[in-house]
Amino acid sequence: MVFSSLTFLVFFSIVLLLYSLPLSWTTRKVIVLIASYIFYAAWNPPFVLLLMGSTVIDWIVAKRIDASEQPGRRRAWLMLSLGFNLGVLGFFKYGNFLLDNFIALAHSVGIEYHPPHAGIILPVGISFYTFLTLSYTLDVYRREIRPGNSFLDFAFFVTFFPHLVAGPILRAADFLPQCVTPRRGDTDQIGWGLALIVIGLFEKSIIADSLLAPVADLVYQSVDRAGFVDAWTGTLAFSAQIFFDFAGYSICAIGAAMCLGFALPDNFRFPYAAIGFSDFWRRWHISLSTWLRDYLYIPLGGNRDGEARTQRNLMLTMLLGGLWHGAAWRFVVWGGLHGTYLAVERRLKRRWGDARWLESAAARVALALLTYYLVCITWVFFRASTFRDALRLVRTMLIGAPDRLSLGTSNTLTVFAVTIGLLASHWYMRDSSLEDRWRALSWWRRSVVLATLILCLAFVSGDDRAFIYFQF
Amino acid sequence: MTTVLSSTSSSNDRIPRGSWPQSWLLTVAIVGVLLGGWEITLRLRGIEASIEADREAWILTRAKLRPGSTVITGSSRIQAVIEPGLWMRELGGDPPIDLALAGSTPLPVLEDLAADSSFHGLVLAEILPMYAFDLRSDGETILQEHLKAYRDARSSPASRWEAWLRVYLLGHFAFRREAMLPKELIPKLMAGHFPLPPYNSMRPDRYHPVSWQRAGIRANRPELLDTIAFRPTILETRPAQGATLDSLFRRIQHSVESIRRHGGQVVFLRFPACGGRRILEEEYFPAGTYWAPLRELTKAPMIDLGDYPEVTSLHCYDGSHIDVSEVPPVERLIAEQVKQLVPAAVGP
Repeated sequence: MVFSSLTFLVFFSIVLLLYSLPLSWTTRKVIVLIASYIFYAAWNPPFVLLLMGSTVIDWIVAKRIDASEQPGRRRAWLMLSLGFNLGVLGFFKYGNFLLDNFIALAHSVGIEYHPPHAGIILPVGISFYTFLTLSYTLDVYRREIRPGNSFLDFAFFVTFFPHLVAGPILRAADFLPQCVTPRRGDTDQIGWGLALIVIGLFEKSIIADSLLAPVADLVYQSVDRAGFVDAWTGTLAFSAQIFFDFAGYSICAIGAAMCLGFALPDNFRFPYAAIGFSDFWRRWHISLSTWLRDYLYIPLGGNRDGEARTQRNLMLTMLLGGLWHGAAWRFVVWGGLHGTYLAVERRLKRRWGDARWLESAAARVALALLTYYLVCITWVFFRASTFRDALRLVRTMLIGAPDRLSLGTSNTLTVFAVTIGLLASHWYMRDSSLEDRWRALSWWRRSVVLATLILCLAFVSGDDRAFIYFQF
Repeated sequence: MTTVLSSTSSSNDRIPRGSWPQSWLLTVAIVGVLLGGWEITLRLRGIEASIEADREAWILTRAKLRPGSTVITGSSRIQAVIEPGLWMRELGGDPPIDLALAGSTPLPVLEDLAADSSFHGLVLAEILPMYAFDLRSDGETILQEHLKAYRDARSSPASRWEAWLRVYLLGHFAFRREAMLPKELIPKLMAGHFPLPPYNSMRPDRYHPVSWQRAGIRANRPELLDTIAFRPTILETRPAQGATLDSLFRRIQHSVESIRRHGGQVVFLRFPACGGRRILEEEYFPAGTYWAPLRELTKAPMIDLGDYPEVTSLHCYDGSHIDVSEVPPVERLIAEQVKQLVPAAVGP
C-alpha cells in the first residue's frame, strides 16, 4: 500500500478511528500491529511471513544474546541473526544479480552455462526492515540496549506501518520506549501530522510525478538521442524527482506516525544546500547514513587507524551503501563515486580546511553548487537503465552532443524553474526546519496553503507511480 | 528497557503548536466550497460525471472474465455499439466482458485468452486496420501494460482495492473527467473557449454510449471537409506491410487456433467508418490487403458491417462512432449474425 493512494486514505482513516477509541493501550497497539500487517500484506500477502519470521528470530536471538555471558555463544547467536537476515536479503535482493554475474563469469572463461532464470520477486521494503532488525540485535550484542520484555512492543516496532516499507530506518533505543507509555496524538500532533501528509503527497504526486518524472523518463529512455541540454535537463529533473519522491514519502511517514502520537527521526535536512559530501550525507537519507556509520564504518575502524585505513573504510562503506540500494553494478559505481568524493574531500579539508576564504558567503555558495553538480553526476548511475546508458549520458553531460530529443520548451523551463526553486529553498532553509517556517504562519495562512495543496492533489492525474525507494 | 543511545532529532520536538482545529476547519471549508462550486459549474454546463476508460476500469472488467464468457475486444467503435443489456436480451447468458480500448487492436486480448487453456467462450473481435496494422499505434503497448497491471493486481489486494476505489469513487465527480483535468483544460481555457461536454461517457461495464446531441453536435460535416480534417491523422500512420504484416497475421492466426482448441470461438467484426473518413481508411488500409488474408488464414467467421446498407447509411459526426440512439438496430444485427455464425456460442 502506498501513501499516495485512495486505499491508504481509507485504511488510515479506519486506523485513526479505531486508535482513538477508549480502549486499553495494549489493545490499541494490537490494532495498529494488525493494521501494519494488513498494510504490508496488501502488496503481496505471502511475504508477510518473511516479515514475521524476521521479527520472531531477532526477538529470540536478542534474548539469547542478552542472557549469555559467554562471548562465543553470544557471537554464535549474533551470527545466526546475521545469517538469517542477510541470507534472506541476499536471496531475494541479490539472487538474480549473483546468478547473472556468475553466468557472465562462466562465459568469460568459455563455459556455456544457461540455468533457468530464478524469477525471484523482491519483497517490498526488505532492505529497510532487515537493517532495522539487524540494528536491534547488534545493539543488544554490544550491550548498548537491553531487549524489551514485550514481544508485542518489538513486533510493533518492526512492523509499524508508517516506516515499514521505505523507512526512516528506526533504532530500537529511539522507538521502543515510545511503546511503553500509552499515547495518542494530541490536537497539535494530529493537526501537524495531517499537514505533513498533505505536504508529502504534494511533493510526491505533483512535483515528483507530474512535473519531473515524465521529463526524466523521456531522457533516460532515449539516452542515445539526448544532447547536452537534454542530458542535463533529464538529470536535473531526476535529481529533483528523487528528492521530492523520497523526502515526500518520509514526510508522510513522519506525519502518519505523529497522528498516532509517535515520533520518527528526520530523514532529510535540505540536502541540496550541502557544502561538501560529509555534509550531504548528514542531510540525505539520514537514517541510512547514520546506520552505515554506526554499524559498518565505525566497526571497520572508522577514522581511528590512520589516513589510509580511513579512506578504505569510507570507500567500503559507500560501496556497500550503493549495493544496498540495488542489485546492479550501477549502484556500486554510484556508491563508489560518493566514497571517492568523501575521500577527496577529506584530503582537501586536511590541507585547506582552516582557510578563512572558505567561510565567505561566495565560497560557501560556490562549494554548495559544486557539491550539487557532482551529486547530479552520481544520479546518472542511479537512474540509468544500464551501465552503458549511464556512461553515455555522463559523457554527453561533460563534453556535449547535439540535442535530438524533443523535450519541449515548457518541459525544459519547468525543470529549470523547479531546480532553481529547490536549490534556493534548500539554501534559505539550510539551518532551519519546516516547522520553523510553519510556526511563522498565522492559522488562516496555514489554511490557505493547505487548501491550495489539497486542491492541486484533487486535480492530479491518475497516473500513479510507486515511490522510487520501494524497489530497494 | 535501558536506553543508552541518545534519541535522534524527531519532528515531535518541533511541532508548530496552536490553532490547528481552526486551520483545518477553514481548510476543509475552502476546499469544499471551491471543489463543490467547480463541480456544480461543470454539471450546469452539461458535463456529467463518468468512469474514465483507464487502466483501473479495464483491470476490474478483466477480473470478471470467466471461462465461458463472451468477450468484446477491439477499438472504441465496438465499445459504442455493444450495449451489454441488449446483448444479453438477444443472446442470453452473462453480460459480455468489454475489453476493447480506444485506438487499439484486439491482438493482446486474443493472445491473453489463447494462453488461458480454460477459456472456451466467444470472442467478438473488432479489427480496425488503422490501429491493428499501424506500426506507429501505441494501442498494443497500452493494452499490454493493462494486461501486466491486471496480472500484478491478481497477487496484490492493494492494487485491486485501489482500482475499485478509483473507478467507483472518482467516477462520481465531473471535475475528475480527463477532459476537465488541468493538463487538458488549461490549454482550452487559454485558447479562449470552455470545453464542450464530452460526446461519450463510460458505464461500469465499459459500454461507451456516444451522444452527439448532448455534445451539441447535430449535423455531419460535409464529406469533403471530413476528408480534409482526417487526412493529417491518417498520414501519421505507418501501415504494416510485407513480413511485418505477415507476422501480425500469424500472431492473430495462432491465437484464434489456440482459442478454438480450448473450445472457444472467435468472430471478427469489421465496422466501417463514415463519410470522408471511410474513403481515407479504405485508401490507406484497403480491405483487400488487411481483411482478405485474415479471413483466409484464420478461417474465422466474419461480420462485415460494410455489407449492410442500414449500417453504412448511418451518420457519425467524427467518422467513427454512431449515436446511442442508433445503437439498438446495429447491435441486433450483429447479434443475429453471431447467432447464425456460431449457434453453439449463444447462451441459454
